[in-house]
Amino acid sequence: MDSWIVQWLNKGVGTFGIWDEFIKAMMSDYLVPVSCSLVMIGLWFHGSKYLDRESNQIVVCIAAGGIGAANLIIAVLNSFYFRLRPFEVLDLNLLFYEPTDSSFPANFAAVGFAVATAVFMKNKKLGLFLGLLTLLGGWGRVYAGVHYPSDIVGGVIIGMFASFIAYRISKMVPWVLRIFLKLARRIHFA
Amino acid sequence: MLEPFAFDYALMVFSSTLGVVQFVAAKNNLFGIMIFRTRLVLTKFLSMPLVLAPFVWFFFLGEPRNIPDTGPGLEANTQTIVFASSAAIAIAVTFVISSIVNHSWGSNYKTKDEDFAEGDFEGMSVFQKTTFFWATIKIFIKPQGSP
Repeated sequence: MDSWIVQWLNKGVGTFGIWDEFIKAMMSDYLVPVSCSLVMIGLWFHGSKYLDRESNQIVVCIAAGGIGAANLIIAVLNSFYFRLRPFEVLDLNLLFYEPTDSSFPANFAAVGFAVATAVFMKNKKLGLFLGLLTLLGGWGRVYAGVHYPSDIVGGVIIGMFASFIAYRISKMVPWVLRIFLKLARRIHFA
Repeated sequence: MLEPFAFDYALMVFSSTLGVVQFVAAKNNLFGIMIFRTRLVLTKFLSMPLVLAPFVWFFFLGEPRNIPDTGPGLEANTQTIVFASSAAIAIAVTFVISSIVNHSWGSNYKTKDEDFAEGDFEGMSVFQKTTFFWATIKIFIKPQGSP
């Protein structure tokens, strides 16, 4: 099923040049991480009242923790499971460079969803925007022949789970965040 | 020295961060870190292309960007370092330029004010009343009678 979806989607590569260029940008290594990080910077400054801003800043800390947890989970997974990329197994038109790391899980989707999930807790629209952006990039990577759909689904689940872990930790030791934010507030950085 | 690709990436992040900070500052009345302090609408209007134009340039108009991260591209750790550095420089530049442009504004702000909630004068809310420069000066030189 996974291979069939990749082959079916990949048939479209090369049909519309402009569409392929758009997808190349969406699935690049840079667009989703930069967009997520810019949203985090914006949230850090956002809030006309002190309490609003503090809750946004806690979300940014949870998102950052989620990224860290997602990377840790992926590193552990990759140490005992390696999946070949679709272009190494199937006859496909590759629209991307040839990555050498494991196909499963999609790091890109894990990081995007770690941030999207954390942001969604506070701001539904922004969280949905980041989630859709990541899914569009993920779809592009399946279309381009560098990931299977299950890699993207795996990445999404890991990202959401990582953010949930970061959220639980922030609830267990809220004083750590409060002290950090209080110190940052003293020098007007929070 | 940064490779040309890393330099382009840093430039995109720098410009976009400037735009994001200006937009959010205008939205939340943080006049002290706005470069056009009295022009709220203009700031919002100008900050959007400042965020979006670098994206269009980097992904659609410049060199090919889908290049191996094991070669000329940026692998995850380098990408994080370049992003963090560029964003930090953009925020520092925002603080410095807004402090210079608005140098005569907010020098006499009070750290206790009825407009502020308890504890609010410590954080970024001070930028509703003064610039980063004056706020930093007040950290070191407390006015007489203040706690």
